[in-house]
Amino acid sequence: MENNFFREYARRGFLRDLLYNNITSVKEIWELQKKLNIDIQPNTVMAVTIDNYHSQIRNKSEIQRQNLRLAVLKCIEEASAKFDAMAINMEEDLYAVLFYMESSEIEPVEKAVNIGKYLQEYVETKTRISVTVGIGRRYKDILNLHLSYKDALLACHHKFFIGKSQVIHIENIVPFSEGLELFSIEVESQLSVKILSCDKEGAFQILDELLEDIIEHKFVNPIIMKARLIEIITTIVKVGLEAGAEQEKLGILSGRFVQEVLKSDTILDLRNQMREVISGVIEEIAQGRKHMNLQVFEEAIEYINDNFDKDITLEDVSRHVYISPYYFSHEFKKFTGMNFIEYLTKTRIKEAKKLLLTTDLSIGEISNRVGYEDPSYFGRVFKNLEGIPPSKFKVSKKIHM
Amino acid sequence: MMIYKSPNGSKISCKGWQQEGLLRLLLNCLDPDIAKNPKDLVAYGGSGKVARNLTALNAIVEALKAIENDETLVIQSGKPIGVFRTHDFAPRVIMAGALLVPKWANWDYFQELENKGLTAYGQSTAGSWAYIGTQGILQGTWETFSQIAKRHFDGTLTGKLILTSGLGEMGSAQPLAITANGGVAIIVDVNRNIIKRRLVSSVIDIKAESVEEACKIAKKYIKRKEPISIGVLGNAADVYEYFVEHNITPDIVTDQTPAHDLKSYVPSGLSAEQAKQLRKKAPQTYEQMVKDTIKRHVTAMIELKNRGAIVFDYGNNLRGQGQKAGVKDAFCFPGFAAEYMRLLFCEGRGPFRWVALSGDPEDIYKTDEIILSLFKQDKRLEEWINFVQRRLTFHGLPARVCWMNYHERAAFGSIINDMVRQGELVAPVAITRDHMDAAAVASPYRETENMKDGSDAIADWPILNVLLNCNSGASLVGVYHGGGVGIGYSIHSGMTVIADGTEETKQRLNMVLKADPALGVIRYADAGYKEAKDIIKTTTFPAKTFL
Repeated sequence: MENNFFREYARRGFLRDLLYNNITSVKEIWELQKKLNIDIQPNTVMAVTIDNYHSQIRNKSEIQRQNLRLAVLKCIEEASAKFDAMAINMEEDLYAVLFYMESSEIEPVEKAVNIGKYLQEYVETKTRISVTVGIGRRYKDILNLHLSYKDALLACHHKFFIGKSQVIHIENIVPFSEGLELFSIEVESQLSVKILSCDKEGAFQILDELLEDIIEHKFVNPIIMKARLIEIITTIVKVGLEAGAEQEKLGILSGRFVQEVLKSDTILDLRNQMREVISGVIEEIAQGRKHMNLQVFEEAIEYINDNFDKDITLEDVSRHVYISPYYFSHEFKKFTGMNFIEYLTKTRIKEAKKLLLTTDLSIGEISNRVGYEDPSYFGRVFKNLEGIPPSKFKVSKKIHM
Repeated sequence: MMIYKSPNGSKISCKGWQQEGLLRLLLNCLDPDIAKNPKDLVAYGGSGKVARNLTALNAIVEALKAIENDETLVIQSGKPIGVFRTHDFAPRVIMAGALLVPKWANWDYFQELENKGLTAYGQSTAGSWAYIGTQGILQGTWETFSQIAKRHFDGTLTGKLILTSGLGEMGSAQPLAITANGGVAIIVDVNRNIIKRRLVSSVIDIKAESVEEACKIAKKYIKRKEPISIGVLGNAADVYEYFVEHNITPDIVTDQTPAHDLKSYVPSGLSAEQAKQLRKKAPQTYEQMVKDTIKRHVTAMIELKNRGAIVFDYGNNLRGQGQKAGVKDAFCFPGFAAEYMRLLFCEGRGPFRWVALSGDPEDIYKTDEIILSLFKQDKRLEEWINFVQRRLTFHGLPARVCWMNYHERAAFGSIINDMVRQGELVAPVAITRDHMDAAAVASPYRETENMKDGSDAIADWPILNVLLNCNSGASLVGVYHGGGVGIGYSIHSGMTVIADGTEETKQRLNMVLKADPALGVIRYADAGYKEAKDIIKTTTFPAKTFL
């Protein structure tokens, strides 16, 4: 009993060592097999991965995660027993199944795929967890069994393009291209424009076109593609920073999505993650702008209040707060409810009224003091706003007082 | 398609283990993990077949199941022609294959006859049902480098640089054999994919990006006295010239490019893929380019020899092609068989092998133990066993190859038979050998090249060998033509004894395993080799001689 218990642990260690190519001698393998009661001579390996593992386990306790992993392992073991295979867990979301394929199979790929399908359906039906199976080539030399495992892992990576819940044989896949011609530099500048103008839909469209191109033309190696997309994330984040988004928030955002992009299981996942990062940056820019506006326009108003007596223009003020005149003009109205000229006029007239009431300065002098060179022009503006010319205002108010 | 595989275990379907053993060997040669092209009954070596055709194969299988323990099945070039009542000590199967009257012995005529279905090319061990996969090639190559080490470098290649080329079917045994003997190998191949494949399956240790890098790595390992095999992409002629130009003289230089077949040899300046295209588009241009390259290739090897390297032809007719291409002294360096195998043949040492008919690797590992304890003093044998146990996966029926001399073979055969009798092994063991043995082969371009007395082309010896084995009690004997070097160039014989544990087999083994190699010693003594002459004078030599 106790022996069996230890043998099971030893068996797992042996199988893992075999797949990691840690055993150097064929004879040693043979002797270990004998001691561990392994009577099949595996020559082919399947890799089984849990689809979307990282989103599956998010917000779950370690025990919940463990349950999920062990439930899948148990099912793989049960299914493997049906075709004399041996199952072993290799990583958190990755399992290996070692089995023997006859050298004489007429259609070895079909046969292996059928075994894979059986296993996949068994696991999915029992656990309701989606898994993808990658199958390696048959290697007649046991010392090369690790190559079959590598094949199987590579086949699994192809779910990136084909989608989850698949059975993929290494012989049926087109090798990944290492080229990057579909990722031109233009993508970044196009995306930057859309993001600066907070055009989410426009940015999504550029992203979608890019990914569709990749699916249609070439299976770019996902890791290269992810690396490039991470570069794009960096650019987007930089654009966000320059546009006034908050540095700390953007840092957290980019950190999180770099991880998510790396973990993306399929191209659909990747698309969703990229969409989220784009949305996030745009959101931060918008937030940043709101926050920035307050400070900026308070400063602008202060500047206007200090300088309305001079011949100031919209350009002067926008230059003072480092914003483009166009943007300043647009946002100023949102902030104050009136445009720059209206606001400036209102400020000048307000001051003029004060001077009219509290001093004996002439209309011409007051006109000059509040920034109008031409007193008659001042008079017209004053009348427009107050309903009476400045001279009458002074008299009527004084009488009133 | 019918799939052939040897049965295993201890239950038999024939009327005795002699027949059953031969049946298993036959089917084992067609195991998809062993045979090159089982569909066409080809076991290995281009077109080496185990039987004439499918009908013949089926008839042979049926005959083996039916023959009694005092009958003999006669096979003519892979086709069964009759079962004769003989006696129980007679062979159960006798064969002759691919033989032609000498005047007609050339490829073209042979192929004409083969196309008419009149004959079949059995290579060597395909025709005699003793092919066991790549272990034989590995052992042969290992033995060659081991002999060079023994002759020139105090028994080890440690700290020595070996320059060679070709990582194809045969050539891929080189890196393993060289590093197993402690050496540092630079192996050139023109095919990027082959190098990649050999790297992935650990046949070579490192892939260098350039010859410069290969030399740099080699220097480091030589200094450290550690073995390493370095694959480098390139054309052999270019790389060998690089060594000449840069004044780097390796300790050993050889070559395993397909120089014997000018259509497969890739000329300098072309990649493997470009060569393939040019071969089709402009065969004459291609041929001229090949000749130019071979000329440079052989000239560079001669220059390296003049500078002190040990240079030899590894049986691919490189010297012959070099001579044809205009290198006058192409034959100034020796062929490997004459240079390094000859002394082994003189003491009756040759490529002995045995096969566990049970299919159980354990049986072979048990016989390995016997080898290791029986020949404790033989460090080379121990190294070989350790090496092959580590690196070789068994396919089909597990087998072992070891070069043994005449008294070692008999002693070992007797022990195996005892082990079978006592039930220490799961089932009987087939004891056999390659045809490249002392008396078993006449092959003037390889094994019998440059014999001391000029008897290179004398083909009496393999015939006498087969007749003697037949009378000594072998279970299967056969004589064949054209193995290794092609039709017109060799006559050779095969033999197998099934060690089934009986008293009768003990006698068979005692006689065959002595007579077979002892005739080889006599052949070399007769040719004037002192080492062989000394042996036949000893009191334990198993034959009376007249020399």
